[in-house]
Amino acid sequence: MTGRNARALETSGGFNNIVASLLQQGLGPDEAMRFADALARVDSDAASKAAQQYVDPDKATLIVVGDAKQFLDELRAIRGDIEVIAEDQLDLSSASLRKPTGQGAGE
Amino acid sequence: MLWTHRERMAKVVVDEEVFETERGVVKEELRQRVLAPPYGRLQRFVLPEAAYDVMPHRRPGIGSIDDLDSATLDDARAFYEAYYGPDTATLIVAGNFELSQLRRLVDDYFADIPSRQNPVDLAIAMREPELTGPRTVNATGPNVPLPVVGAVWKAPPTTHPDGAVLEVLEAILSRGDNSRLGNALVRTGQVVEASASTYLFREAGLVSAYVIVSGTDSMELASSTFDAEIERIRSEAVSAAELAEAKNEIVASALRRRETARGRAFELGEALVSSGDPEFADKRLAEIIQVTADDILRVAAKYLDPQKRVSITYTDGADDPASYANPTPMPEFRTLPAATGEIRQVLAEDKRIAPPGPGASPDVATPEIVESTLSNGIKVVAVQTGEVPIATLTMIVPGGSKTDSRQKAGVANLAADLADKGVEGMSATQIAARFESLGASFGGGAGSDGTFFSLTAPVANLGAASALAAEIIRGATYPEQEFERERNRAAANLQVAAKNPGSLSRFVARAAMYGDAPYGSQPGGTIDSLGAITREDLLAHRQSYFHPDAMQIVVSGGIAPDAAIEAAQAMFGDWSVATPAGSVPNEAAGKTQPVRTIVVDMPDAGQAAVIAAVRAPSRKGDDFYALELANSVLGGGSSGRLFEEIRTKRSLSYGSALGLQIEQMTPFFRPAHKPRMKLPMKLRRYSLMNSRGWAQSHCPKTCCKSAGCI
Repeated sequence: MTGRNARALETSGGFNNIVASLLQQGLGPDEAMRFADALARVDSDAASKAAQQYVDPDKATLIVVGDAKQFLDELRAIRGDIEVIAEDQLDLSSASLRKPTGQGAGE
Repeated sequence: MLWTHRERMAKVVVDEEVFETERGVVKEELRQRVLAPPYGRLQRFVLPEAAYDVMPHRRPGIGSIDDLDSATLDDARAFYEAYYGPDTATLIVAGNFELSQLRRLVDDYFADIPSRQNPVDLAIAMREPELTGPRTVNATGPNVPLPVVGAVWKAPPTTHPDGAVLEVLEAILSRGDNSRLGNALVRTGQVVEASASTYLFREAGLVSAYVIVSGTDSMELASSTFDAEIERIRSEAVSAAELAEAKNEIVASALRRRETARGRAFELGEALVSSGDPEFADKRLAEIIQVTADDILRVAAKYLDPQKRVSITYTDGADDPASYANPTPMPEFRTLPAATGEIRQVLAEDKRIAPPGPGASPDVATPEIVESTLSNGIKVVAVQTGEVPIATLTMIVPGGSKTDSRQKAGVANLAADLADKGVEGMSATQIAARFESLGASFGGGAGSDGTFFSLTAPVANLGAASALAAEIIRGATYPEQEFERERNRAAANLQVAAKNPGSLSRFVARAAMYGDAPYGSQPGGTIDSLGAITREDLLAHRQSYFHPDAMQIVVSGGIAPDAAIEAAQAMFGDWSVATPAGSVPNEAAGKTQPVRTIVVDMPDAGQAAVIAAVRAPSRKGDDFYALELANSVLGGGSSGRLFEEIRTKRSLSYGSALGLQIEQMTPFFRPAHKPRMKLPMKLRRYSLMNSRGWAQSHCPKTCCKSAGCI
C-alpha cells in the first residue's frame, strides 16, 4: 500500500487528485505525506478489530446483477428474503429501486 | 524484485494443476475484457481478422474460448522452452537506483540462467500482401447497444519512415475534442464516439477508424460523413494549426507518460520490442516533430486508399464469428518442437529458499508543501514534485451529487463536464483547439462531495492554458446546442452502462447503501433525471458553487512553488462574487439502510456481478488506516485473500476487488466480483464465509507483513 501510494504521488495529476481529495474532506495536504507512517502504526490487532467491526456478512447488503434463473434458487437457499427486480423495472433514483406501479406513463 | 523476476522466468512451475487454474483464469479474463463489454469483440476479434490475411497478428492474443479449451500443458511447456531464455529477455529498470549496484545484482541473479532448451528463430519473414480490392464486413455480436460503422487498412511495420506520419495522422483524425472525426461526427450528433487508431508492430500494422452511431437510423448518414472525412484528408492538405495541435498533443502525452518510473520503463520497453532499438522512443518523437502537411497528404492517400479498405459495420445480433471471417483461410503458423524438459515441482514448504529480505529503505526526500493564500482569500497548495517540465493545476469547489435534487440528479456532474463547451466569445471547438494546440488537457467532474477541475500542461504553456481554464470556471456559458448534444450523449452512455452488470451493480449499490439521503443520488444521473435538466440549471449551479469563497487550488509537477502560486493569482486573485456560495447539506449519508439481498434480473447477461456492501467510517475517522489495511489484506491486488481464493485457487472470476469508496462522511465498503454466470453462488458462499471467518478469527502476523504494515 505504501508503494502504491508513492507511485500515485509520482505524477502531478495523481498528486493533485490525492491532495485535492484530502482538502475536500477537510484534511491537510501533509496527510498525503503521512500515509506511510500512519499505516506503519497499524498493528495486526487493530486491523483485525476494524475488520470484525465492519466486515460482517450479516450486515452486508448483497447485490447480484445477472441472469437470475441461473442462480436464484441457490441464492434463496442461503440468503432468504430476496428482492428480484427485472432490469426494465429498475429505478436507480429511489431507495426501493423499483419503478412505481399503477401510474400512467410519463407521470 | 530481481530475485522474483529470476524465479518466475527461469524456474517457473507449470504442472497440470497450475495449468488448469490458469486456463480458467484466462477464460474469465476473456469473458470480462472481451466478451462482456459491448465493443470488445469488435476491437479484439473483428478488426484484426479484417486487417491481416497471412500474418500471425490476425489471431487475437488472448485466443477464443475454443482455443483456450483445446490448449494443453504440453503446448505451454513447448512455448516456454522455445521462447523463454536470456537471449530473448530484456530487463528494463527505471527509477531511483545506483547503476553499479544494479549491475552487480543483475549478475548475481541472472548470469546463471541457462539458454533456451528448444530455441526457435524469433524472426518472422512473412509480410502482408496488399489488398487487391475493397471488402465489406457486416459483423454482429450480442449486447451491442449502438451500431458501429468504420474501416480498417493495412499499415507498415513501426520502423517504417511513414510510421511517424501515421501517428500524426491518427491524432488529426481523432485525438482530443478538436479533431476531424470529432468535429464532423460527434459535434453534429451523428455519433456518440469516434476513434482512429494506428497499431504498428515489428512486422506489420493496421489503421482503424470507426464511429459508434447514435442509432440504427443514422447509420447511413454517419457512414457517408465518415467516408467524406477520410476522402478529405487524402485529397486536401491539413492546416498548419491542425498539424501543430497534433504534434503538441503527442509530445505532451509523452511528457505525461515520462513523469513516472513505470511510464519511462514501458516507453523504453515497448519501443525496444517493436523496433529492436533502445533509442527508438526518442527517435520517433524527433521524427514526429519533423512531419509536414505534405507528408500527411502523401501518407493518407497511400494507406487510406478506398481500393485497399475493409469497410466494417458492427451491430447487435448473433455471436457469429462467421459473420466477420476473412475470406483468406487462416494459415497454419509454426509448430513448436515438443517439450523435453521435466515438469518442475514446488518443493515442500520447509525445503524452499526464502526470498532475500528487503534492503534498507532509502531516504527519499519528501517535497516541500508550500501553502499560500491569493489576494481574495483562495487557498493554494503548491508542491514541486518532479523535473519533467509538465504541471497540473487542480481547482476544488463544492457542489457534487449530494447537492443535486433527485429529480435533476447529474446537474453537478454535467455542470463540471460541460463547462469547457463555451465561454463568452469562444465556442467549444475553439476552446478545445486552444487547449490542444498548447498540449494542455483540461477537464472537470463531480463526485459525491464536490467538483474538481484539472489542467495539465507543459510548464512553458501553463500561463496561456491556465488563463483559459480560469475563464471557463468563472464564466462557462453552456450553449444550448452543446448542452443538448452532450446530455444526449450522457444518456446514451448510461444506456450502455445499464447493459453492463458491473457498472449497473455499482449504481444499485449506491441506492441501497444511502437510500433517499443525498449520497444516494447517482452522480451521473439517470436517464429520466438527465431529461429533466436544462442549461439554466447548469448556469445556476455554476453561479452558486463555482465560487471564490469556497475554492481551493493545488499545483504540482515540474514547477517551482513561487511560479505556481503566481499562476494561480493571475487566474483567480481578482475574482469576487457578490452573492454567497451555494449551500451544502451537513448530513449527506442519512440513516443506516436495512440489510437487503437484491437481484437485478438481466437474462441476456454474459456474466454476473456481485457486490456485498457495508457502510464504513468516514475518512477522518480513527479507524481509517486500520480499515485500509484490513481492506488490503482481504482484497488488495493479487496477493489479497479474495483474489487468492476466488481467482488463484478456484478461477471463479478474473477480477475481484475490495474498495473503500470515500464520501466525505460515511464511505461504503464493497467487494465486487465479476464471476462467470454459472458460479456466483459458489463464489458468494465462499466469499461470505471467508470474510466471516476472517473477521472472527485473528489477523495473523504474516498477512500484515505481506501487506506491508510491519
